Amino acid sequence: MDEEYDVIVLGTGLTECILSGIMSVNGKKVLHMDRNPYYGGESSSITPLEELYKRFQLLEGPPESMGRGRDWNVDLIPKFLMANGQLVKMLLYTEVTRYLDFKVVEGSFVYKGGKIYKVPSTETEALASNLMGMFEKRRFRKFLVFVANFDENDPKTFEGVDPQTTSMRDVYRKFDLGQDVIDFTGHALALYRTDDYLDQPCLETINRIKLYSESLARYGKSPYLYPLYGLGELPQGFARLSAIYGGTYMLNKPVDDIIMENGKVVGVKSEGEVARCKQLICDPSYIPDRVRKAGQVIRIICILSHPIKNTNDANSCQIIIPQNQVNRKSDIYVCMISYAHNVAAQGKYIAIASTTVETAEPEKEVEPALELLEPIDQKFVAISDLYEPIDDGSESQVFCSCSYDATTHFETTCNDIKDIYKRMAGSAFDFENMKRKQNDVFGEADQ
Amino acid sequence: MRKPDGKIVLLGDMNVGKTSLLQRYMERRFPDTVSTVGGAFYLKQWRSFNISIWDTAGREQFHGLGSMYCRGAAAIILTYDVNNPQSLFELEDRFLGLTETANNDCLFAIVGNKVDLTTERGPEGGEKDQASGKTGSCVSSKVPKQVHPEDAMALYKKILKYKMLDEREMPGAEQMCFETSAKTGHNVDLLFETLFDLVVPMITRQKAEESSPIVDITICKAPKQTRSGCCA
Repeated sequence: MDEEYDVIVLGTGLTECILSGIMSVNGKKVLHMDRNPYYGGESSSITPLEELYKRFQLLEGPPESMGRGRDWNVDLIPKFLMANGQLVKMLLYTEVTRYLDFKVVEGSFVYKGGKIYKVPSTETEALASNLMGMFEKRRFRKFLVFVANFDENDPKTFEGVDPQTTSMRDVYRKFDLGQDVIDFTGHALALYRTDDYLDQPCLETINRIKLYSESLARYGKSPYLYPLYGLGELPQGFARLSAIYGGTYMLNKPVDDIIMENGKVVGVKSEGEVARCKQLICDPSYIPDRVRKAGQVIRIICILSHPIKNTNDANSCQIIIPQNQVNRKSDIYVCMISYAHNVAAQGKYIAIASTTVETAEPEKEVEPALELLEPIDQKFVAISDLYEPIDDGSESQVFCSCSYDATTHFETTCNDIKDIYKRMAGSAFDFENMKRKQNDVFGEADQ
Repeated sequence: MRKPDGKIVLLGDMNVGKTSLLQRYMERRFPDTVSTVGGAFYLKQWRSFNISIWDTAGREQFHGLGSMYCRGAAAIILTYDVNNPQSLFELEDRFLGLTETANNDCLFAIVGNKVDLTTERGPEGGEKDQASGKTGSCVSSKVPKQVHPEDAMALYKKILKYKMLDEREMPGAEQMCFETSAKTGHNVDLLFETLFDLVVPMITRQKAEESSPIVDITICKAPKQTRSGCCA
């Protein structure tokens, strides 16, 4: 403290740690602080289990059947990594992969008519699936071939579709796809939470279906990856990158004030000392008066002693409940992981049901998901406000991240990172910006 | 880069010489390897295994270490300065809690560094550690050691008790407490190579127990062009 930095970062959520890593790798002098004694903020994994009970004010603490408290690492937000997604690209470019281990999520399921169906991961599974009829499958296959071949830079692949003007509804009509197939495609493949995309130009949807297919092709069981020991490892990996390139890290550091002069940030006051800076990055909790509420998410963390029924005893999976199956506007998601990922005691599973809040009774809204999980040993209910920054930082040089939304992947988080980078640096984000600038691994082992 | 098979981490207060210790061991064999970026991640091939050795990056020492640092570690080197009793106390007060995320059967080595300052006459050589208060100081005669081997052995036994590890199954204190000098190289090879030898059977056992597979996302497998989606 009492020093001058290029960038001060407040909060060690994933967004903040990735930005801290990028800034440090690019030669900025970075100070990164968090009021908590642990990394991760809202994206942390809570350990030991006693801390989770305390956080949710369950004062009697965990029963003995939960095993050893420190075997638990419970995510506060339920998300997986798309195997071909932007976060994996960020991990690869920064080589933060060397600090982390991943497993493939074992299955993806979609809810239809009160039952769950496996999202096919092979052609054999697709032919056998009851999700759609035989003639429908043939048309759907033609559609998927079209999507796979579609190249927005090559008009020969367009087949009469204009990526910038043809709506996705019209693309479905062109391939004569029925409502069931449309629902499946939009929610289980393109991972849209609502149906708003139908009347938008089709390019984004085509790219999202491509991302799903390419992610699925990478490992085969599902398109998703999950880190051992929980999502809380991800911010720590990027924080270490920043530290290696000179970033200063201080946990357990309260922030008393953010000091502005003439509408521009000049520093941060903590425990009586002032650190000066040219730019500030923070999560919404550090500047409550400069953010606006943009909705709410409900997340119910459930501890189970069994795999979810009809998932073929998967020790990790995702279930998508499309919104029109339960008369809602947004999809409900379940993300399940277990002791196999070193996030729970032996024989225990963690399933998190989540969705965007639409009514005054959010717990009732997720009941269809909870019914799939019974019997539930313990529930932890979190209803979180979503925040987004009021200003873009051009004058204030304060760059606030958005809250984590109800999606079960990190694509929106990565988009937020790229957008903040562009506003801070004045140039578009390029993954090359994340590359380590010099060899910082030493030794005789083959590289 | 191939994934390491096992992990060893260095812990200890600033200025006890952790980085110098590691560089002394690794770089004496590679004198041309020089970098201005703190070398925080080393790979050592020992027999047929790759062992990663983690050092704290310069700024993590300001209370910035998280649970990931010791995660899955097979061995932890707790480092103190033999001329600074506080650096031994700090190992218990500040650093022992961080080792919760290491393997259950993790080994501990207690290392008292800078032993050369207690035996050598003449000016102290340039120490690689940052921001030392001892800059320019001279040791004009032999100085009695401030921390004795018995203190380190007592800490070792206390750690075994704290970790609920069976003393009879773990290496003895006399085997796991070292006094080193990164400057002269005294006991540096012995420290690392003792740990490598002890870690190898642990790695072998762990590999045998491994359950479902971890994916290596650094292997760049291009999506097959013939695949056109989940139903193709």
